[in-house]
Amino acid sequence: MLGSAAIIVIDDKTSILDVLKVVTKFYSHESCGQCTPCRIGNSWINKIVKRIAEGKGKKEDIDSILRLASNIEGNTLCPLGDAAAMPILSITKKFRKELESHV
Amino acid sequence: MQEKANEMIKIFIDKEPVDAEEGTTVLKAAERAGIHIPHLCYHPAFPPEGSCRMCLVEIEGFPKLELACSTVVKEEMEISTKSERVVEARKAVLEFLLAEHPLDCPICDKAGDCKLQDYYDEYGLFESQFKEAKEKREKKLKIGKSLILDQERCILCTRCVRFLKEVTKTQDLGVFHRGVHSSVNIYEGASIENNYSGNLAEICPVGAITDEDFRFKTRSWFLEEGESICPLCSRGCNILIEYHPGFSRFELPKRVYRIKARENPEVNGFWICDRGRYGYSYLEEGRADKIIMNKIEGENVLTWENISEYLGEKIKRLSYAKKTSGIALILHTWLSNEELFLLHKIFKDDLKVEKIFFADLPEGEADGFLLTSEPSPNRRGAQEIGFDIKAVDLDALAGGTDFLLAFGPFLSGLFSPKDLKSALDKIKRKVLFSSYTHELNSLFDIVIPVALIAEKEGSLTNVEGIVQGFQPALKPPGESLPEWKVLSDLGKELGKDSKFYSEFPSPEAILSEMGKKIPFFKKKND
Repeated sequence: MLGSAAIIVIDDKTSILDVLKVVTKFYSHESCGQCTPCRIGNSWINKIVKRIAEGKGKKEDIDSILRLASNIEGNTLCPLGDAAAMPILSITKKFRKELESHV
Repeated sequence: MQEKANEMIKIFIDKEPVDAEEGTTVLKAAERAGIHIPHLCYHPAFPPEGSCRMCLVEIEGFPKLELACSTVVKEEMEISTKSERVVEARKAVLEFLLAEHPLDCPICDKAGDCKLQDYYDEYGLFESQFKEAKEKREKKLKIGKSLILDQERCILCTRCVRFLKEVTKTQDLGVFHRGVHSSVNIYEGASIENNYSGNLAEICPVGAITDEDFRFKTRSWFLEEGESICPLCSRGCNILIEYHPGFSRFELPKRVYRIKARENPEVNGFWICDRGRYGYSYLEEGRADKIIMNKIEGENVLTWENISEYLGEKIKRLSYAKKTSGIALILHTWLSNEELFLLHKIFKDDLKVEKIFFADLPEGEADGFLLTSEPSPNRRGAQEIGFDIKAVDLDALAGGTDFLLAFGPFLSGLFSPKDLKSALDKIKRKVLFSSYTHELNSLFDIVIPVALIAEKEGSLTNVEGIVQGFQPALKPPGESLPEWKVLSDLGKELGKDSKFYSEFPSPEAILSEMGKKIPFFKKKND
């Protein structure tokens, strides 16, 4: 799982939803706020993931996360947008089943 | 502000070959070719910011979408502004912006005049997927003498921040916090009080900064606009006058609702000062709309049709009796080049009138940017036409004068009513051309209502000697007509050189005649 040139090792006992929550919170917080996709996209995804973690997730939320992250990717002022989109996209795609069990 | 004339190169926009200036940006090249690329943060007055991401376009050979506002064109560059990828990216940016936008268009003063609305209408039209709570921010923050900031509507284009940094250099606003919590705010203790503050509401592409002078007075879609020139100082800033054409069932309190800057890189760039923007009450208040006849012999009823005949007859009588030394003129420098030229020709050249004075508003203070110290628009024009701008001297004016032809309402501000009355009482016949109903009017036999610059055609010479033409933006009230009309009729009436005057159906024809007589006015009419 690569994002902003870092490797994070996660064991199989860790909830992937918790990982996604941490990742999206991190990038939402790291966004400087200058450009639109990174500023609002990261915060939006973080808000969705938090809602899923509260048990209020809906089926279509997973697709929303994928759609929003790909709308950030490649469209931002600096590479932070891409750095955020990559782990979000890979977590959501590769662990879709596990995420779906929460909604 | 102006770019050097560079060589032209060929690029392709949406497969069409387009000539573009070397060194220009994709956005400017497209604009020049008539293709609008949506943008929010970019404003031609400032260097590209690249933060809104609305202007993304696809360029052949580039893996990512590129910014049209900052990408410089290259020979043979192939740009797509309407490809699926571009349209999808545009939609995505709009979706992000609208997710954290209050969507309070029905109560937003900018509705109908808002780029976010326009772009959603053109590229968006999607259903909202945003189910989360929006960020709460300040909705009504007073940030200056006439400005209200709504942080929730703000899209962080930072045009306002950059304007205050680069144009007024007062730096009152900044972006505070980061991420989704970023918001434009005023620095502690600051307030936007400079003479250019009104430009902020104009450059704000959304409803974040609104102007108290305009807020909730009308809806922008009711307004029509007319081009004009600001007459409140000698800079001659190009303006747009936004007026309400009126409703059929009830009367509105006013017709002019807003003055906006009109771009002219030679004169005012993109801006106008607050004095010009908010000082438009002169267009409405106390306007004269009927010919006033306080004292008139016989059963004469004056109308615009016979006014020049009436004046011509009085002047001719003095002229036959070799008494033109008994004629005096009071002029002002709100008159157009054409009107001043006709006045000079009729009274100075032909009738050899010597008592010509100017009554203008007293000199003000320049602000070092656009506002000059001369509170009238055409002092330079009067000088170039050959007038010696002499202030009114009441003793010299009244002594031996039989006939006074005065223009403008400014005389009353220069002298006490008592002094004015005693001087004017000595003059037998007095005619005033004025746009206002004013105490001064009672001192004259006849008062003829005239159109203001916003209501007539002509040209003005600004402080730097730039001659600028203008067309009527508004209808003059009631019986008001422009002075040039009565003056060219009067010239014809006086018989001297009447063929000369009969060639003047318009100010344009007068200006072209001026170009032949006065080299200064030639360049525009080569």
